[in-house]
Amino acid sequence: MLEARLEQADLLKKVVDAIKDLVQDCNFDCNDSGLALQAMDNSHVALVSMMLKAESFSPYRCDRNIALGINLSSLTKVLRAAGNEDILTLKAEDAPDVLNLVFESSQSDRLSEYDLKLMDIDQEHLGIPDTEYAATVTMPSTEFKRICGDLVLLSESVSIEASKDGVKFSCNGDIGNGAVTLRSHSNIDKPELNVDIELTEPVSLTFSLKYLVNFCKAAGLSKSVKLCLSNEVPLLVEYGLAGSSYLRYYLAPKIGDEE
Amino acid sequence: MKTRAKGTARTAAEANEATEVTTAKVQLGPESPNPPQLFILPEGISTDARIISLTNPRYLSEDRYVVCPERGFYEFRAIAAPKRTPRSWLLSRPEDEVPPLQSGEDTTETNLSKGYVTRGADLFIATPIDPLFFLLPALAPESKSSGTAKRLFLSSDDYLEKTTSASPALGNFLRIEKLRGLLERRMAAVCETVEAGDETMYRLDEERLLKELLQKAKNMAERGLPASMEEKLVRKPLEAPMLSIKREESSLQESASGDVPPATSDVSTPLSETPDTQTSVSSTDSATTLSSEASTVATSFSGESTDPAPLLESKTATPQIDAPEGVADLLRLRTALDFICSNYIAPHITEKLKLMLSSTTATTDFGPLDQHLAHLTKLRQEALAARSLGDYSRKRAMNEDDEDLEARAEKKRKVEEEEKRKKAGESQGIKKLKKANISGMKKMSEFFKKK
Repeated sequence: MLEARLEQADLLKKVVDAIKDLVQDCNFDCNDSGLALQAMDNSHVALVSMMLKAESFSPYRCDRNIALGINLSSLTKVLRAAGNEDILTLKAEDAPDVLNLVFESSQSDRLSEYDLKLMDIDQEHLGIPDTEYAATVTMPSTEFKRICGDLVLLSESVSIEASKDGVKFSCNGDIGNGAVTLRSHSNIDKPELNVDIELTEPVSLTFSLKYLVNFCKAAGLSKSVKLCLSNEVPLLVEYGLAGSSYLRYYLAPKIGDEE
Repeated sequence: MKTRAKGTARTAAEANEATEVTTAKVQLGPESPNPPQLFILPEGISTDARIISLTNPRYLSEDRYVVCPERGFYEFRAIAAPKRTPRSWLLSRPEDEVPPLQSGEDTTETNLSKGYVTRGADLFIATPIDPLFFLLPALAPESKSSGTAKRLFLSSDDYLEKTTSASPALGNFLRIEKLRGLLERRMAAVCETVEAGDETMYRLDEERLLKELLQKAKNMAERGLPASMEEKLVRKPLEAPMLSIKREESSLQESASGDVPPATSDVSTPLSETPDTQTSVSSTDSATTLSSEASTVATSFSGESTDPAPLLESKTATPQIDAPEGVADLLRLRTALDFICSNYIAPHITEKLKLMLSSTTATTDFGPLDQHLAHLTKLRQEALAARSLGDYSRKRAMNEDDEDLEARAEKKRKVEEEEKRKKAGESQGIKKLKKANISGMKKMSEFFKKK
């Protein structure tokens, strides 16, 4: 059986919020190392991979591998009932029909309990190898969100060019064009505003802005975001969570479509 | 040699010349209650030959046979035109020097006032039959008790007496030494014999009977089965199934049950040898049945089988049967044997013979044939299964009943509900992504391998 206690319901609420706009139903795979999720969007051009390590919970107990088939918008409805500061406990049997969620208010003695019906989801898992990317850009997540939000108003797609000078997001649309360039920057007082570019070779790739905007919903989870680029492979957008937990998005580049 | 005789006439069939014509005079008026029928009698038949009633060895009914003291026994086979192409015989006097034509239509103007147009184009051919078949019911009576009572050795007189008691008309012929000798020889061929004094005693030996019948079947098979039999009972069962063609399983069962169609005459015509080689004649004898229709039913020839001449040629033209060495020959042999059994041998004897044939001591081993047929049956079933999986349109047409419709409606409703539920569960973000232009973007599975 599974029993996982999360000090702040906030984390799960934000993670689910960030994923639910990309996938509808997916399996939460629970094992002794933690809660994992991998799912693709309807078009199968983007993939989200989440890992909530056992250390994120206290305590965490899972004797057996359990797949919790969950409709994410249903889970969102239940999680809406939880306060951000609430202590959240997930419970499930070994072959569960329902996921039991208990929210405990830290201030008051309020205790709310919900059972969420589970579903059987037939999902294929893709093996994602560790990749050495040609360029890794770390930047404030709010900055990335802003850039994507601004450029999506002009165009469908953005070209991301990483060079030793900096990283340039440029787009070309019907009403005109636009570009945002970030240079490497380190702020000793506020390290979360650092822009860091690691480069082995210059890269230029084009991506769908609608998808990137979608990924940016996870901005609330982490102060910084890491973009990893290599030619001919999917872009990795990673939001690091507490411990070694993470939320990663992969997006296929647009190839041969220079419109 | 064609001979015309009145259907019910018991006159001797001595007529081997067309001059012996007895044509019924029929005016255009009420149909004759006793219409003439056409017979072809054997050439060189003795003047003492008669058409008599004998007990059919298979069906135990009274049927008509030609018995000639010199030549032995003949049975009648009806050859009928298929019902869909009506034909008639025009019978006319010989002095008109008009040969009996097979006229195409009934509408032929009978300008020959003495002529006659038959209702149907039935023709009865007398073909030799092994008298052994008539003796078998006496030699191996159907025992009421299930016990295997040992048969006694009996004299030929006893057996012949039994035979004549069933077919009294034979009595007179048995006084003829030659015919009696013929019967005794045939009896000896399938019996154990013991000399008791100056008399020979007989007892049926099933092994020898089986051997005798197998020999007949071999002769029949070696000469080539009639084309219709070859096609339906040999070629078809041995055809390997093709996925796109519907195969009838029934042809296999047909050969097993022995319900074979009558042979065509190309096998029965060469009768130069001893009577025991004349195996392929059918027992249909319609002389007693006045209605020519009845005889047509009994034989039910298909169009091509009435035309025996080109059969052998056409057979060689057809493609080779695709089967292991010897299997086709075995099937031919079995088909021939089944044909003989189903036409001339009483069911209880047939059963016994089949048992002996399947036993391991049998001289002819049908094992390879059975294996191959089983293999083909399996193939056919597989083909059938594959087809029923693939062919939805046909399945639907066949089982279009209420239950099916209901099930389909139910399924459709479920799918629709699912769709609706899914739509409702879609978040804003997902709806927006649906509008995203994903041209030029490969699927994730192109980059990452499935686990």
